[in-house]
Amino acid sequence: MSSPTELSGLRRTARLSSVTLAEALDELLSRHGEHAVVDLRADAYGHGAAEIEHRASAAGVSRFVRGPADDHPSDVGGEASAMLDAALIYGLDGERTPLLALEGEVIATKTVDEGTPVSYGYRYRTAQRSTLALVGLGYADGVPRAASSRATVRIGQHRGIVAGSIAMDQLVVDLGGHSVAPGDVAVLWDDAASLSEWSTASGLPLAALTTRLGTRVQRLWSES
Amino acid sequence: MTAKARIDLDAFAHNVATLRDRVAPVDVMLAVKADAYGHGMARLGPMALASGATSLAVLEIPAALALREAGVEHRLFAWLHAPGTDFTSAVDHEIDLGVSSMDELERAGRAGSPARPAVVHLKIDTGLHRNGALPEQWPALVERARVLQSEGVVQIEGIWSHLADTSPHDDAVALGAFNDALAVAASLGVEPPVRHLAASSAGWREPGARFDMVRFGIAAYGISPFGDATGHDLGLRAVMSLHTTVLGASAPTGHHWIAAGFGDGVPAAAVGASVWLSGERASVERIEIDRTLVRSKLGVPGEPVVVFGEPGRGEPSAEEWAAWADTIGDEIVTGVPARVEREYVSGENR
Repeated sequence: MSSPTELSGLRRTARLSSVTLAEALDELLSRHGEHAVVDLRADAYGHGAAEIEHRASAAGVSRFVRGPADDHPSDVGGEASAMLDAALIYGLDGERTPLLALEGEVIATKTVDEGTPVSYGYRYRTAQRSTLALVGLGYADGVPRAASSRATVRIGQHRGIVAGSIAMDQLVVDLGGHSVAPGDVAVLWDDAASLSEWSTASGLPLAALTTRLGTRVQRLWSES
Repeated sequence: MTAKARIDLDAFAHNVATLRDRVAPVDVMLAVKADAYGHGMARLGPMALASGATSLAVLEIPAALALREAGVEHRLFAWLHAPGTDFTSAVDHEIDLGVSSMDELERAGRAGSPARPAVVHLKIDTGLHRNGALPEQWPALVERARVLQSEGVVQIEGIWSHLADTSPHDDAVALGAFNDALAVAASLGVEPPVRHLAASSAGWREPGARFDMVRFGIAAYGISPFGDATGHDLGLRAVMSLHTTVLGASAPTGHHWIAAGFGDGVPAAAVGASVWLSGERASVERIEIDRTLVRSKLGVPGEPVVVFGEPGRGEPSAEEWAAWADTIGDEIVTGVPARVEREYVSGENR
């Protein structure tokens, strides 16, 4: 009998960059020295508080905000200051590279004719004969349903719109005439522009996008 | 206190029994994917089976294996598989597999043996265009499954699909496509015992879509699948409620901060929302990561607050929050992060 742990299931990855974090911590420490504070609330905005605290401590940070909310306002210089530093550390100011890139996996593809409806409610129809890629990420993973038919996803070299309603565990990407294959990586965001696009498409602040990410999304650190 | 999600086990049992009665004698498969829509599969899965469901649907095989390890012996159905998934452990643990493609079918066949065949439910795409075989792929998929069944390595247990829940007309078209697929399969000599199409929406309203089994999900959690009726209207009870307390932090006159924010599952994009405080609705003015500013003259620090809960008690429902956030109730309950403690209550402790 094989054991359950041998099966990892679909790949859903929050890829975290140690280089990006190290640069942000350098900047924080050069600005504030021993007064530097790292905001670890909400599991470090969804990034994983234990690992962020460990890495920040190793870099020389000794003050952290953990919440609950009664603790945080005055002793660390107020909400605005903590938010500012969170934006720096996690790359959530709309200009920096976000510390966290969100990736899913193409489960299946299908080629459909122009005018084909996609997903619940049939609120989207293909504009041409298209390749549809089914990606294993949904709102239970924290991908905001409000971005349905608005945000885009990059698969290989191609970017396509989320076709129709984002479901609990899946979304569909319309790649037009381009072809992709099962197992390909689907990138929702990995830079300031793509993260901002998801924020605009969903009406959510950047910080809410990372904070919402669910437990099926595996946090993986890249060391280079 | 920090935010806490209270799970009302009596309400869940009531809902499952209500759904069972609604569709009897058709069987109920209860969807417990996404950790039972954020409620906790380990607790609610067995309870669903004790309350009238005869089987459980998960998303992926690892979740089904976890239920087997916990001692669940009923039918378990896993239907979304990573590319290249080895189905051996699923076959070993007698987990029914949703199969959408020839590739998945071949892998199921390789994992099965005459002593223990892979139990498969073949999926036809009836219009949703997610997974499932397209109508032009369907005859070949069915025929290959029939051959593998004759070799003893596969057991064709079901034929199934998902409806798009778009309109009665579109669902009727999809129902027609499903019946066409059943007819094609029958012409190839394949007539499996478990035909299933409907989820909460069609399961509740469209008897013609129930076939041998209905896969109920969101309705069991007390949330309506319809835009024109609430769960309360359907006689369902809210299962999850999100609780916190008023903070002592200073707030503008006539306002309070409460200890729950978007990091605790309060929908950040909600407009016009309110919470339940001191026996009345208090309007939400600002949502931060771990706190929310509400307008209330009555609240005092430490006083309990219900962000969403049972509308029968006046509390805002998850469905109301869904309307305020321009989404559906499913996203409200699954959006409460796992780090928010779940407190299970029943009977005297409710």
